[in-house]
Amino acid sequence: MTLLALLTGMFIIKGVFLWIFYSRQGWKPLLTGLITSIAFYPLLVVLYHETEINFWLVLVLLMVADIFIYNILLKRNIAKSIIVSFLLNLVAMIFFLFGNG
Amino acid sequence: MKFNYLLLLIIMPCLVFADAGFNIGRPKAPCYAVFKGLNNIQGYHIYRINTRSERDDNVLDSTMLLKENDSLRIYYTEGSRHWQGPIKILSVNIATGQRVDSFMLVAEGYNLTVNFTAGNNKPKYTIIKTKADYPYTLFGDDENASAGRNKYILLAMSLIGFLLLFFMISKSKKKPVQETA
Repeated sequence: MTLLALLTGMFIIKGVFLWIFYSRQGWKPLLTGLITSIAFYPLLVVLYHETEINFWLVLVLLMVADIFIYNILLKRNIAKSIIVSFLLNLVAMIFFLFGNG
Repeated sequence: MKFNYLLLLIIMPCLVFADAGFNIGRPKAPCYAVFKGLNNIQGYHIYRINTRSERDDNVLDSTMLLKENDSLRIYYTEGSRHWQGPIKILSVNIATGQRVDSFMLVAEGYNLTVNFTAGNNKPKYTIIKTKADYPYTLFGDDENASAGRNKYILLAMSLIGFLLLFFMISKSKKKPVQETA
């Protein structure tokens, strides 16, 4: 999967869906989704292809990181952050694994 | 904030296009196949690899995911003769002799060693998955293959993402998010 396809897909999954969940925050969820995608998923591609790392562990770490980021950047509501992070990362990981074979 | 936009709007697209550029400009190097059952004769030049799928008459793309026990149609030369045959992959290695694992990515024009049986009596074809595009695992250390350098683009992209994230978080700590009911 090319970087362009990866980032576009992740922006749609994380940015747009995040914007739906945090629609009252204006444009910030879009930017947060885009930047978290840029930060985490290119690194994940390298980890996926170069290492034997357990991807369930990666998924959990990604969810935990996203919970903190959403909680700090979007809305200080830990329960909502957990639910949103779980859902979005699950969908994003399915897209990632589908795209990377 | 201007620095953030500089990263986001200028450097990021550059990296994305550089990544796409690496994909297009893959080098072409000779390929060699080892035929199991034919005394491991080396020196066959693979010039085309194709899968048996619905789009069989077209080469899918220059890269595909090869797995052991997959079947594929492969085009190769033996001296002046040209062959094309359905083959079953028994194992796949890179040319350096380094064993990778039960599956790997191959691209046309790359050095690789493939152990396979030539199927004379209509083997059962399996469609080879062609989902992954970049042969990071295989060709990262191969001097003939620049595709492995893509990982540095990805790492650079990730670094930029973390920088932007850091800026966003540090900025939001200065201006705490107001609680909404």
